[in-house]
Amino acid sequence: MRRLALLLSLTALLLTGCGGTTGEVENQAYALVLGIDRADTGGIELTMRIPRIGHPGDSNAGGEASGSPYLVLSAAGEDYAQALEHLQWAAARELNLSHVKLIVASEELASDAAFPELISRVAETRHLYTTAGFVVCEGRARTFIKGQEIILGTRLSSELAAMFRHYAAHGYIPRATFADLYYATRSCYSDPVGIWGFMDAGEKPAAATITDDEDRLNADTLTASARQYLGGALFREGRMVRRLTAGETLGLDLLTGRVDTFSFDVGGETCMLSTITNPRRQVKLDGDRVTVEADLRLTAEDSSDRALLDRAEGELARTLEALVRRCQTLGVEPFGFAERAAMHFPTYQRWISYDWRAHFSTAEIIINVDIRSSGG
Amino acid sequence: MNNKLSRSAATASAGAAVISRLFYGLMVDAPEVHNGAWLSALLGLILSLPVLWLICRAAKRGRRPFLLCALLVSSALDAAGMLEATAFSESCVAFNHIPTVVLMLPLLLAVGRCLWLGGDALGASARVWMRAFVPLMLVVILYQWPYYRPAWLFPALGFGMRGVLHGSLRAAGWIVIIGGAAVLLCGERQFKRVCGSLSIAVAVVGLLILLRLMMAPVMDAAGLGQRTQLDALLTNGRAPMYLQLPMIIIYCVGMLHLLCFESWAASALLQRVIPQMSGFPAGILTLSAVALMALLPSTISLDLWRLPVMLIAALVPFGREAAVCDG
Amino acid sequence: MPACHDVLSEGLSENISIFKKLLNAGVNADAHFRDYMAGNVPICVIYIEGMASDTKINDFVLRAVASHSGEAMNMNVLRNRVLEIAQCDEENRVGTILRAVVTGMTAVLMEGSDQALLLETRGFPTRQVDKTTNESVVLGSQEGFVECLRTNITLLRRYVPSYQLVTESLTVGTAVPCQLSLAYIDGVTDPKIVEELRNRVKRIDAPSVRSIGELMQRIEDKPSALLPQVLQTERPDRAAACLMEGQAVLLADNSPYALVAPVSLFHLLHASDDAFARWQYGTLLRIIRFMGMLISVFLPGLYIALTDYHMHLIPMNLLTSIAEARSGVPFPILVEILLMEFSFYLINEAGTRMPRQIGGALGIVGALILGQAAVSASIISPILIIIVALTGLGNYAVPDYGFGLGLILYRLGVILAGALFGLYGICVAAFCIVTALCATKSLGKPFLAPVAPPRPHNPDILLRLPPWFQKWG
Repeated sequence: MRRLALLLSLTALLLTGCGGTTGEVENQAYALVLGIDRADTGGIELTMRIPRIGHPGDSNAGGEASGSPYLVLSAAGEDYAQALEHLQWAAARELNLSHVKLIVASEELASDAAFPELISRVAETRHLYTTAGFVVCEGRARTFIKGQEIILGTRLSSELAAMFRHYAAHGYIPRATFADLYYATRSCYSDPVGIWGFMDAGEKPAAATITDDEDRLNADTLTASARQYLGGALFREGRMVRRLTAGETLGLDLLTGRVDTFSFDVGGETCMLSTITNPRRQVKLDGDRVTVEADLRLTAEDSSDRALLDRAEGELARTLEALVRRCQTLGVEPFGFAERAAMHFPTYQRWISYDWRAHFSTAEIIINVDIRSSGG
Repeated sequence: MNNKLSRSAATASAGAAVISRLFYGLMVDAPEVHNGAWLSALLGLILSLPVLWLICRAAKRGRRPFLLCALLVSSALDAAGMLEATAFSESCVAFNHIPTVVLMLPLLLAVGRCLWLGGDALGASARVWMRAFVPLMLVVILYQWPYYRPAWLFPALGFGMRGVLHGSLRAAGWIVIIGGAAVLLCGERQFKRVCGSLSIAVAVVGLLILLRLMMAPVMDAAGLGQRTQLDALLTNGRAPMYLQLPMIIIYCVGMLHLLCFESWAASALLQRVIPQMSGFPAGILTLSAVALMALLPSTISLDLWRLPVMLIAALVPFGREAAVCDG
Repeated sequence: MPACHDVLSEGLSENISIFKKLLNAGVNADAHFRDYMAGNVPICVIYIEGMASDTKINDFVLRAVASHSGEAMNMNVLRNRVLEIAQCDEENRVGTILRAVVTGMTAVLMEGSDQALLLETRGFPTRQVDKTTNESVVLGSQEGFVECLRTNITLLRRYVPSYQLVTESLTVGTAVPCQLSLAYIDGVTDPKIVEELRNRVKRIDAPSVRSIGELMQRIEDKPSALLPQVLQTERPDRAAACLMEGQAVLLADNSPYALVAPVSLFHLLHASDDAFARWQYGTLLRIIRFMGMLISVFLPGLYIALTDYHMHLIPMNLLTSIAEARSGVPFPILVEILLMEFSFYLINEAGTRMPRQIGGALGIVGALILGQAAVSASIISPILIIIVALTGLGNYAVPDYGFGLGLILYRLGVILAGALFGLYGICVAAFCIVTALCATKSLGKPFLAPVAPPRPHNPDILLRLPPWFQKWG
């Protein structure tokens, strides 16, 4: 009887057909960057950037005549699922989406009414395996992805991660992942933001893109890459409503506690400021009256001039208040105040029926900034 | 295959099984509870303790066959449900190209092995697991620490008190199934120790639920499917990918302990109900029944959480009358 | 035909003819029957050449008998006044006398006596106490057991110079008996353990027990288990330490190993270094061995599981390196791993059996030619060489050889589980392994005690606390 049981067990195991692997590791196409566009025919166009896997020595960072180490493929379909299927065919390999580092959506598509549904489809397909960044690009995502270069590193995946980490730490871009976009679109809290990407022609950038009273970067600044990441994209209920300039993005990052060190211009003088702790955000509800309050504590790295620091405090507070009011006008709340307001409600249904968006648009804003000198 | 359970095996097995059952049940199977899941777990424990005490009393008064049958059927049905759930979970992780039936085979092998080795071996294995669970969980928590958002714990009651109470009744039912089997199999004298272990397990579940709630916010109703919940559990686009490794181990091994304990308990209870039946046929019968029930469509299987509560509520007065008749 | 269960008679010639028949005196050139006179009483000295020492027989038996004069000779006088030898026992059972003679003792028969004297005259060549071959340590005693039982018992007594140390003599094997010695410390070792071990040895009903390895399998709780439930050690200091912790030790003649029982899984991970080194380093060594054990069992399986099913768990940089390394390899990963495992153990086995003069070349053959050539020919990927090397190192970090062999078999199971079902399969396999270990017992004691089930214990399981926390027994 025991032998029979053992024999049946082993047979059962063997009959499973070795589990069925999804393909050897070297025979798969690993998408690093996924681009989503509105196709010319009105459907969806997907673009992917895939590293070439070959014998060691074939891969090189320069993309010379022997062939670029990356392959860019595009395919269109009536909807997302069909486009993905066409891309599987175009890749001629099993497509593996579990290592996507960046998802790029064109501005046109991100502003479309169908974009929230598309976000869900993409999230369900990829199982959110990676902490992929989310970028909304000016123009077409396919053009943006093509020609994306490796500047300082040897691999695109680590290059992108290092670049975004650096930019986010200084407040040039928001810390925006695709997962945040997905969850924020489907949940009842604050609105998501994306990273804004645009293409630099290699010369002096167009004035409309970055010269702004609140921008911090000089318009003559040139980077090594033609693909620039600066600023953010605001979303409401899953649709893009507005682009955020570099200064606005910094303000957003400050209010959400996501920037470490940044420079701030006060009447021609620049001071280097660092955050000491995360900002304290409070929301007070008094019937229909809402007050949102944020306290920021910063330290000045390179200045002990109290007068300058006092001016900086006032200037920064005004800048931040203006940013919040602009978002109030748009009916968008990306600052995390909604999470604080939700604490006042016992159930999800009561919170939803409160209509936070409507109340936020008429809320009183109080921003307190306290800057201390690091020299004591 | 012996049908005895030592005290240390009972406390360890019951604790490990309850952690897995409550966590799966409240976070994956009943996501409508959501933010109130930790409260459901605590209320479930409070509701279950009197029922467990009644089970103990009724067992001492001699109404064992009815109690044994009730818990036997409940354990087997729940084990079947957990077998299917575990196989489905694995298909979500990386095996969506393999039929769920095929994924059940290794689980059935593991269950069969545990039935053969006995309850004490399972209990010792649960104790070893508890030791490995703590450092694995600490690694996961420490690496995910920057990504936790405490604000997502609110609104505290999730979708409302009704959902919380519904969840607590379910939780109570699961605790009664597992705790009741443990108490009956290791002896009514160990009631306090088993309940102590269950209380610690529920506290751990509460903590795990809170951590999970801080990883992904409550979503609209369409986002509450099992697959989405499993995705949010394992990968939520925030935590580093390599953390999936300890999380998959914690989830899979936890579910294995739950499944094996419930199956073994059903087999052991069957031997107590039919003392003439030896271990081997009881094990084969239980394994076959669990496998068959797991393969049946879910509309046929009973809504388990009501069953033990109803049966025990019906049996307790019957037990008291029998004691009076016996003098 | 005389039988071994017969007893001696008072007639010398009758007794001599019994022994001549049983020892095949006409054919067996080793068996010697020396007729002599003790006073005016004929005696016969029976011994096996080579096993008994001629010098001892000449000096302490024949010369002593020859130089005696005076009172009338009988067996009592011979034993108490004439023979100048330390160990001298009387015996009248033919079987017992025969067994003593073939192991090197000398039997003296006397006319008119139905008793024989058995004299300790063993003088066969034995190996000197030397360094251990399989349990080397950096710090600690360098002595190892040898094939002679008496020497081994002496070694134990040197390491445990306590009057409480008891060494019971046992025999196993119905046709070819093997001498055993059961050692324990009276008052420290649980009498039930001693009784159980004694009973298990006595229950062995085999014509012969050829080695201590076979003895081990005959007394284990579950011989079909992959891991040994009895510790086999060639170090007397290790055996002595186990005695002092309350375990019992079994020694066998012609085996340079001691068996220690009961043991737990953790005992199989202990080494003598741990006690000799400072407690912090001892703890570190144990943790390294434990990690080595886990790496040995799970690393190849994890590699297959991650590369076949869970690629998203591997960082992209590493994944592309793996993919590039594998791009020219024609075999699936499972075949690659099994090939490498087989090659590794083939080299291992060949190295063990190869004559010493050419054994040194095997290292060069194995490492350089096979490994490098295989990578150059794209038969295997370089990363797999690292995996298999780490696995092998982890395996050899385990002090107990039998334990290491069991780990190999577990590893194969985990590899298959990983290849079939990825991480899920490995979790199921690990669960089955741990549960099986929990069900295993060593002399009735749980194999994973004191972890599961919990027991009060010496703080010397995985972490070794300072010596002043260690308890006796």
